[in-house]
Amino acid sequence: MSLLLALAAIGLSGLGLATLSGLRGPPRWALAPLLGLGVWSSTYAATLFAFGADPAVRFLKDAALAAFGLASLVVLARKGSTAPPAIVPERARRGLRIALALTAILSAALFVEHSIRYPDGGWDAWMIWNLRARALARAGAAFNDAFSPELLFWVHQDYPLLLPGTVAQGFLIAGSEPRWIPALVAFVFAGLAVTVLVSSLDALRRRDTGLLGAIALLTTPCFIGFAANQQSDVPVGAFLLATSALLAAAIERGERRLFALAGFCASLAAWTKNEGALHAACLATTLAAVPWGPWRERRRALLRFAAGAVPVILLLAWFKLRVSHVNDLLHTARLGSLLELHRWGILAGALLRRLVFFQSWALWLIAELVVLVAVLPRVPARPAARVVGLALAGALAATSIVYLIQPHELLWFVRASFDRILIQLWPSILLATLLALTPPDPASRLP
Amino acid sequence: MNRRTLSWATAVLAATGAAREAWFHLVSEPIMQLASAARERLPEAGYAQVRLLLPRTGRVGYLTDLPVSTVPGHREGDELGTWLYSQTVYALAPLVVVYGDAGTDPVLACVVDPGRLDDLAHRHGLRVERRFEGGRVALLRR
Repeated sequence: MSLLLALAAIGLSGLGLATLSGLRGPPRWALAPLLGLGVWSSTYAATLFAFGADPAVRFLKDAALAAFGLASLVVLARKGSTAPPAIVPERARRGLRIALALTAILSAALFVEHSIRYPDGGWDAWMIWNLRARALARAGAAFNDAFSPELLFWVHQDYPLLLPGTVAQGFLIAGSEPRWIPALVAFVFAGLAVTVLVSSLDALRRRDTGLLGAIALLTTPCFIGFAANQQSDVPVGAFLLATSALLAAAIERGERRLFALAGFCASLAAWTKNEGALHAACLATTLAAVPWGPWRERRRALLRFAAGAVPVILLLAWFKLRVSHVNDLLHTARLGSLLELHRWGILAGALLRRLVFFQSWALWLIAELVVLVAVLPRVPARPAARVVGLALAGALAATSIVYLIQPHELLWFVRASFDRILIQLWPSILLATLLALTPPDPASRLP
Repeated sequence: MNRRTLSWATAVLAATGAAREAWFHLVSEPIMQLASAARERLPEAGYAQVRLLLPRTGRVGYLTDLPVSTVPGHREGDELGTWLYSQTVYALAPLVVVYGDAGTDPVLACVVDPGRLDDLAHRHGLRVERRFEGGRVALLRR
């Protein structure tokens, strides 16, 4: 019963939100489960802190989400759609469809292999995300112990709760803690990143572009590895990708309601991991700063984006101020490190090494660099790609600053984390690159 | 950009990436050893017995014979002590495992050298009440 209600809450609330925002066709179906998972988890945390860990609270929360989603769909169905009918997509080339199918099968098989070999996931998964999920699921009324300042900083009490909240609810529904639940959650988020990329590129560009993007993402070696390691970086990447795709659609198609939904997705990225807040802030900044339209239009877009982000950002702010404790990177950060030239040199060397780090990226980063340097200057400027691309560049620049001022040994820290930072941005980088390289489809199917 | 060029470039890059993925998951970590890897004992199994004797929630002091990194930016050795602490927290969640606190009752000890357990207990005015896992995990009391 509780499983069915949870599935209804996820499916209907996600579909309701996507439909309310005017999304139609494949992008709506791809985004709905991602939105639904985000809503399901963030409302879990909000109700947990507000009303406690009573199972009845979760039951009522899920019932309310399902009812909201259902009511939204019924009301919209009665009003009737004012949007033009969806255009049936051209069929992609058969060879590409086969290539994607083979890539997806290989990726799924490798995910399963890695999950069998490392059932607890990677270091971050068991030490942070699944630890928190266990603590929340097991503690009952003592759930605040999960954030105790007496635990060492390695458990990162200040990290937001979207992923642990999802897994913890899975544990609570199952009544036990089978290791396949966090693995399944990781698999779903990775799959949603791929489907959002396919559907958004398919909707904004001519046929095949979405398939190319999906193949690129699935054959980036570290993507499946991080997904199977149950890192939160893949879910952050999925939410950032959704944000980027919605911003691109809103800018290219002039569908303003999508700015609010983009803001909501950005806030879910922030509720997944601290870096998500940084990346979301960069997206908001470029939305206002890059001249993709008149200033008045950009200001309205920014307000809509911010309005969409408000509910979850309020939850995040409350969590940071009232529950979580100091952040290990920023609490002991040294701004004076920015003036130490040798640290810039170490950082530059380490980042250049990642560029050719075949184990994680094969040749993808080199190809991306070639495109940025040699190809993009020759293709017409496309505003949506520019907004997203500059935001991602800004996010990387801001991350570099964090690297320089954080207290850990710089080289060790970059090696330990940069691939994960980049995989958060990578789906959006692929989106922005393909949006820049290919012209808009005159018969675009978004929203 | 020409669609054909884009497709071919993607195909070459994807083939390289897929080959790298397959190499890592099937050869570097030999697929033939997957079954034996799956049967390996999980680290938290070592805490199964002691967990039954600890409170479900609350605090428990934690002592060890290895250095543990407790301050951001100051790493201690090869981090085995940090790994051991983290595994303990993971296994015993939601118990708050307080590193270096010998004032709770009981206190949990996790060591790599069981021969140092008694000395560790005496240094904190404690005695070993029960040993598990060949003495690598123990309950200490005053």
